[in-house]
Formats: sequence, C-alpha cells, structure tokens
Amino acid sequence: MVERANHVLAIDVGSTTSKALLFGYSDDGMQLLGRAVAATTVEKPTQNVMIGIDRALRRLQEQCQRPLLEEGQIITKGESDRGVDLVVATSSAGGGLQMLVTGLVRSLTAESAERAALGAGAVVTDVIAMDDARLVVERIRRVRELRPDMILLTGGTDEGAIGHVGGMAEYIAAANPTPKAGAGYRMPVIYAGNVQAREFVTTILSELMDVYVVDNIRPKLEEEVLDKVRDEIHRLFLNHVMAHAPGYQDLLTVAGGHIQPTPTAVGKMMERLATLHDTDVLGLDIGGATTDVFSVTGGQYHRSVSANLGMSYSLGNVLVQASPERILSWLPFEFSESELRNLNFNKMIRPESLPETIEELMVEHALAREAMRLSFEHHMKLAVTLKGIRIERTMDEVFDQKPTGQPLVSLDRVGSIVGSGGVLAHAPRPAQAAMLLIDALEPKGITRLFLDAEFMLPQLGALAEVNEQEAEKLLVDECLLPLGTVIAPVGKAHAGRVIADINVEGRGEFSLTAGSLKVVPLKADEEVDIVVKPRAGYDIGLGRNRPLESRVRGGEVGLILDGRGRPLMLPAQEHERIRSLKEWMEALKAYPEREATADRGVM
Amino acid sequence: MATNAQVKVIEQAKVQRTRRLPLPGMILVEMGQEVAPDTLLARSDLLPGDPYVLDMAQEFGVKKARANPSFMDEVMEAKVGDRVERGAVLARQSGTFGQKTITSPVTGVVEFISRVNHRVFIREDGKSANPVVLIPAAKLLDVWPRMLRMYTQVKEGDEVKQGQILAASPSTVSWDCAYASVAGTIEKICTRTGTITLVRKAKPTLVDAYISGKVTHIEEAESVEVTTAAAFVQGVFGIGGETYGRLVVLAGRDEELTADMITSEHAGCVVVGGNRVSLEAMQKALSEEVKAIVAGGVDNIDLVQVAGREITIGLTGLEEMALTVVLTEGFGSMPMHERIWDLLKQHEGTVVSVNGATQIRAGTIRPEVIVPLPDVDWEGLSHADEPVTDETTTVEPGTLVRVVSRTHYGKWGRIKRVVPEPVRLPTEASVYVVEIQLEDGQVIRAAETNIEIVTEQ
Repeated sequence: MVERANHVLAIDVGSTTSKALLFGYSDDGMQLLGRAVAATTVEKPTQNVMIGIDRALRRLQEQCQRPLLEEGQIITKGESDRGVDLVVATSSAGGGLQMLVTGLVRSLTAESAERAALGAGAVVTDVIAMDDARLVVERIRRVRELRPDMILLTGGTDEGAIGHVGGMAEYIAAANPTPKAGAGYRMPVIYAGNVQAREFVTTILSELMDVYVVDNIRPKLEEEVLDKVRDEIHRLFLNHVMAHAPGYQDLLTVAGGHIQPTPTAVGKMMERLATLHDTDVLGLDIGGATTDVFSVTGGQYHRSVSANLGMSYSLGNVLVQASPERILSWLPFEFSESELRNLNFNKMIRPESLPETIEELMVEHALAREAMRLSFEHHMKLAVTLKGIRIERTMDEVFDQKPTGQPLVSLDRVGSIVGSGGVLAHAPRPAQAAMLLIDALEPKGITRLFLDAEFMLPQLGALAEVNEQEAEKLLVDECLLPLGTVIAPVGKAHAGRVIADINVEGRGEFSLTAGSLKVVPLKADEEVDIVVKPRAGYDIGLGRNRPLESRVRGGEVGLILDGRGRPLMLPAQEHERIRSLKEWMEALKAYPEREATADRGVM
Repeated sequence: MATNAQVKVIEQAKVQRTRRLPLPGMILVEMGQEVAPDTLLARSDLLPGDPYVLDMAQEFGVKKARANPSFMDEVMEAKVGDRVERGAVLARQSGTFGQKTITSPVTGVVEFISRVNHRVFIREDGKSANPVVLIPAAKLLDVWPRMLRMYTQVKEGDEVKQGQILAASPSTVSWDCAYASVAGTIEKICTRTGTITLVRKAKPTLVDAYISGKVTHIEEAESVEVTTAAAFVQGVFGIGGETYGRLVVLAGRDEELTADMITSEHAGCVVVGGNRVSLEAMQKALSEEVKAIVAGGVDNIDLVQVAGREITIGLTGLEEMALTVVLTEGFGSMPMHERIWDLLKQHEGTVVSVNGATQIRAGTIRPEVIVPLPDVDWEGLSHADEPVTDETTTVEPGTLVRVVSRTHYGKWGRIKRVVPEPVRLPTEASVYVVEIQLEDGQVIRAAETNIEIVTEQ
C-alpha cells in the first residue's frame, strides 16, 4: 500500500466512453467527490486517448470546483485546493486486450491457456489447438486474419515431446500476424509450455516476434499453474500493448504504472465482495458489444466473455442466437417479428440511441434478458474446472475435462448477484434492473441483488491496488446499489398452488403461490428475520419441504418473493403469457402504467 | 455530448480509393492515367486462398517421429521465395539405394517451409494451374468403380478443401482414403472410370478501379491510388460489395420501390428507390441483373431473405451477392431525404460507384454512393473520408440533424433549441433533449442521443 493519498483520480477508458472519478477524504473516510464522462478518443481522427480523458477531466474539475489540469496536464502533485495525489486507471478501449491462445489438446493445455487469458482480463479472439478440426492451412489463415495484441503459446507437459509444440510455433511464424497496434510493433508471444521446448520455440519465433518465457501452464496433466502466465500477461499489457496504443504512454506516466485491463479490476472487486459477504458471487457486465460474466465460487474466481452478445453492436447476434420468438415472449403486448427486427437493427446501426417510449424500453429489456441468459449459459460451460490452484485428479478425471463438464457455479450457493452495464444502470427504475437479473439468471434460494449504477467497479478495482480498505468501503457505501433480496423456492407446481409460507419479521405471513411474484417493502438499511416453509416439494436450499430461517436485507425494490419456479417457464398460451407478464411487472412496479397502454394495451 | 455517427451528403468532395492486390503482382496503369470503374489496374497470377501443401516426410517415406527439424535442412533444395516450375526438383535425399527426388507438382512460389512439420507451402501460379483435377478414387481404395459411390463422403457440387477425405474404405489394418489434392468443387463422381473430378478456380486476381478518376499514386507490385472529385452520399447500412452502373431513379423519395418498376432495361444499372424497397423488388432486381439498389429503408426480414443468411454482427460487404443494397435511412419504411434524393436525381444517367460494405464498430465503415465529377478540380475540396467535426462543436441551434428515435425515425430538421435541463421521457429516463424544427414546420423534441448530425457542404 502507498502512503495515504488525499485525492485520488480513477480513470476508466472504455470502448465508447472514458470515465473519470475523483475521490477525496472527509471525516467519514474516502468519498466520491465527482464523476464525469467523455467520448473515448482512441480511434480516428483523434487517435489519442488523452484527448477524451482531458475532456472528462475538464468537466470533472468544473463539477468538483477543484482544478485538476494545468496547461493540459494532470496536476499530479496534490495540494489542499488543487490537483490529485494519485492517479489509477483501467482500460478496455479498442476492444480491450485481445489475445490469441494456442495449445496442443483443446481440452487440456488450450483450455488452461484460455482460462489464464480470460482471468487476466483478455478477450480471447480464438483458441487454436493441434486437435481441432481445422486443417493446417486453415489454422494458419485464421492466425493471419486475427490481429491480436498478444499470443499465448502453450502445450505439452514438462516430460513430453517437443515436436508438436514446435509445430504450433511454426504455424504462428508462418502466419506472422500483424499486431493490432500496427507498424513498428513486434508481436509479444508468451510461451508457457513444455520447458524442454523453450529454446526450440524461441529459435522459431524470435526473428519475427518478441518471445517471453514463463513456467509451463500444465507442467503435469494434473497440475494447472495460471498465476505466472496471468502476471506476465499483465506485465506485457502495461509495457508492450499499452505503451504502443495511441496516447497511452502519457496515461501510463501519470498513472505511475497503476493501470490494468478493466475486467481484471472488476474481477478483483468481485473477489472482495465474495469475501465481504462470505458467499458465492455472480457478476454480469452487459456492454454494447460484449458481456462479461464473473463468478467467485468456493473462493475460486472465473470469468467469461461472450464476445458477440451485447446491447448495440451485437444486437443482431442476440436476436439470432436467442430467436425472435423467445425475445417476443418477454413482451406483454403483441409485436410482430418484422417490427422487432427493424427496431433491433436500427439500434445496431445507431448504438448510441436510447428508447423514448415504454414499448421500446420493454423491447430493449427483452433483448437484454436473452443476452444475459446466453452469456450466463456460456459462463457455465467455461467455468467447469478449478482454476489457479494445484489440482489433483485421477487419470479418469484428467481425460474428462470437457467444457460440458459439471459446472462449478451453482445458483443455490450464489448469495449475491451484481449487475453492471448500460442497459441495467440506465434502467429508469431499479425494479427493471432487478427483474432483468432475476429473469435472465434465475437465482435460486435466497439471493441479494446489487446494481453498479455508476459504473464504479473498474475504478474501485484499480484503487484497490493502492488502498484496499478504502476501495472496499467505497464498494459498499458508494458503488453497489442494493436492489433487494429475492427468495425463490425451486420446484414445479400448477399455477395457483401454495408453494411456500414466508414469515417476514414485522411484515407478516405471506403465502407464495406457484407462478406469482410478490414484493414486500424493505429498505436497504433494514434487516429482518425470515422463516421460509416450502411446500409441494419445493426447496429453498436445505432440501424439499425443509424450512429455512435467515436474516435478510432490503433494497430499492424490497424483498422479492418469486414463486415462478425453476427453470422459469413462461405460459405457453399467448393470453396467459401476457397476463402473467403484466402481473409480474405490476408486482414489481417495474414500468409506468400509462403510455404503452394507449396504443398497445400494455398494463 | 456523444452523438451517433455523422452521416454525409456532400455535393463536391475529393474521393480517393487505394486499390490493393492481395498477393504481389503487376501494375497495369501509369501515373496520371484516366481510369473508368472497369479499368484493370493490377493483376496477380498467384492464386489467392490456401497454398498447395506438400508433406516431405510422407513424400520421402520417413516416419514423422524420426524426421527431426534438420531433416528439412538436409533435403530441401528450394528456399522460401524461390519460384519453382512444375516438375522442378524441390528436395533430394541420398540413401543406400541411391537418390530420391521430390519434384514440385505445381508451378508457383515457395511460401513457407516448416522444419518441424516437414511441410512445404507453394503459392500456385494461376497461369499454369490445372483447372481440372482427376482423382483415381476407386483405384486408391481398391474397389470396383461402379461401387465408388458407396465409399464417397462428398457429392457433386460440394466445395472441398485440399487434404479433405473424398472417399474412404476399410482396409486390412486401417482405412484407405482418397484425398483432395487441391481445393475446389466436386464436378463429377464417375462410376464408370472410378474417378472423382475436381474443378477449381484458377483465375488470376484482377483489381479494377471501382471509381472513375485519375491514378495519383502507385506502389509497385502492390497498389494503385485513384482520385476523383465526386458527389458523395453515405448510407447507414448496406450489404454486397463494390459495383458500378448507370444511375436510374425509379421511385419518388416517399414512394416504395416495387417489382413492377424494375424492367430488363435496368440490367447493369444502379437504381434508386424511395422510402422502402420490397422483397419482390429485390428479387426482380436480381433476376434482371440490376447492379445495386439505393433506398431509404428495407424490412430486415426481407434483406435476410435476399442475402440468404442472418446479419448477426455489424460487418457486411463480403457477401457473394450479385446485388448491392445501400440504405440511406435505416430499417423499415423511411422516406429518403430530399437532399440525397435530389442529388442522385440530378446525376441520373451518370455511371456511379456503389459499395454496401458496412462496419459499425471500430473504424465505422458506412456504405457509399460515389458520383464522379470529371469536370471539377478536386484541389481545395474536403476529403470525403475525413471525419466531420469534433464532439464539442456539434449540437447548436441551426445544426442539420436526422432524428433516429423510433417515433420520428428518419425525419430531418434543424435544431431550434438545445434544452439546458434534462427532460423526463415517457420511459422516466431523464435525458438532455433538443427541439427540432422538421422540414414541414412541425417542432418536435428528441433526446440528444437520438439524433445524427448531417454534414453540409
């Protein structure tokens, strides 16, 4: 930890916007003093990230009435009335850190390499393995087509043959991909494979690329070592990738090296939250082009990126992957597929546009539910093996490492869910964000819901690097907006049948019926005892029909009693489906009751 | 304030296009030469796509495990970059029983030599590449020719890759296989001769000028830059690649382009429609060999039918389509803006260049219509590809904008007032809005994020 900094400037350079947050000390410790946003300027014509940051800082200094810039430079020697003492930064501009990973066997080294890259905050553009179905020339062509920031080359255990991993190195050499950063930049390649092949691989690649050797990611079949690779990715991200990105050299200088990929910073805060709440945590950040899912289960951190699921650039893909029928099924009014498609693609070609009517908002939320559901499904397929620790397996288990293996994330063990990203944070009512999270992720048992309403998680992750305690305090006090607690017994029953009796201290006894959704008002600072007695074979976490006593907190929405069962099935009949959706939306008071009613019969 | 991508309707601009060969070749024009869209600028005889691959360990009958990297150093006579003729010696190995040589099965350039995998990649020369390849499949599988179809894994019309298994039969210890020696299309499976005929594209790569203009820069063996003064219209979305043709305006700006408007007279033309182009009209355009359609809008579902696939990410232009479609407004029925329609109408009869390529993210490529103006000097004109302005000078009273909210989608007008305080929308979101006077005099409000600024020049 560094010495106490009175004023900290935290910058997050995103793909579309650059955000600047100013934190300062008061009697209650560190607090958020102001927040400003400007368009990111990493692309043409400006091609200098500092221009966008400068614009954001001008707004921030006006807002906070504290000079932060002098002759276009950030005042990094803080005084009582001007400047800052510390600058920290995160970046995901230009599509974030894009990596190509390779391994010999898709389910062994290549999968470990993918996990290491994802865990380090990268977007994995492709995974190439010797046993994938592609022909040699196809692999080479694919490597050539991609323009990654970095390549991770793995393969072989330490006692294995060196030929295959050398062959993979040759394919990379044959492709000689152009780095995204362009001319004058040599592609960094991290080699984390068979130690016997280090010299061989280095000889093949060093004429064309910069090769960095680290410990083997899979020294034995039963052992997975990810830390060294992750650290090296992080180091090269700073020293190699960032240093060549337009304007980043200046940012690196002012941030004094305190800069990291945005997902890494978010992941760190997820881990902290899991420790704070002493539970498994699920986080979901839905962006314009991609959706990141983070989970911390049993102390292990996992991350996945769904590269083509997002709420603007990738909307076409959401529509196709989810199917128009599924998206339309979330609308409590009739809407044609043609209208949906036109609306969807108009948003895709104009990503900045916002819904102006309730109807458009509901369509956007229907798309968001499906984008989040698909991203979570993707995460469940990827988070299937232990990560970052020494793993002892039997031989049978070793050969059974498939992405379709038993998922490690179990929703009945997830006690907190954090939602982030524009469509959730900009939802006019917090109840909408809560409803989207519940419908998309289908939490089981008792789960708290939070919203990163101010997009602060990355900055806090960066701040945590230098001041853990304050970052943690700000996470609770300023960043996470408690939406409420959802109580969702698991089971199936005919609509209308009582599935649980729920006693809420000071609020009374509630009978929860199958297919219903109820809200018990409970504020964020209120904490009450509850007793949930499931019936009809339903399970609240301790087994079928077994009662559970717990202490729960409220939030912006309150205590949400979800009797819709798991998996959540919408009624098949059109009129039933619309009636149910309206009832659920009314129960949460999720949408205004007028406007759409007039022309579409909503509510 | 962040605004949406700015669209362009420019009456006179400097347009420059660099035309690049995918593989090294010959430049066919000279500096300063006047070119038309169909003028060939460059040619490469090397075949694009996957190179020809030879496995040297297999050719020499050496087991992979015994062939170390030095094996290739010992046997290879050709080096990377060498031009080799068909039949020329590529590699030579001396053994107890004399010398064995491996000759090149194709004419081309050695592109890569893999020491670890013992492979040689040859980029074939299209001029000498054999367009038809016969694979004696029945003989290779040791089966009767008339039984061949029982063993084939492909059928006529299938596209196959080099090395792909075409037919396989079980042998005593494993499988006998007939592989595709080149990438191509299965032309015939003959059960009389027991052969599989493969046809492949063996044409040289030709690069045309795409736009009319003058050659202003040449990079030897690689690229040619063509420059012209032109009227320039940028659309919002398109599919299909570069094309050109005579401009014909078939429908009014607020009129639907229907199938009956398109006739055989429009073959090779770029036709301009109004608020929407119907599915039938696009199908008719395809059958009448119309080169491109420029319209205000189209229903997405119709475009998907014509393209034959879903449009999943905002990246188009690489579709192999005979028809290019450029939308100037968006999806749905949307009147084409008067300025675009008037500009195109004004140049009716001119040969224009059209490209439907669209990339929404990173780089933001929008589809384009380029109307060359040969009598106009481009010196002093602004560059059509230059960004319009920076974000601080965009939204102010008088700025010409296009509304992109669904209620007033595609309407154009001028900003009357920038409302200083956030306004609560029916959705309850509080956002900054502007008041816009539409062309018919009506004044509406739209969120700042729901307008596009239009370049005026």
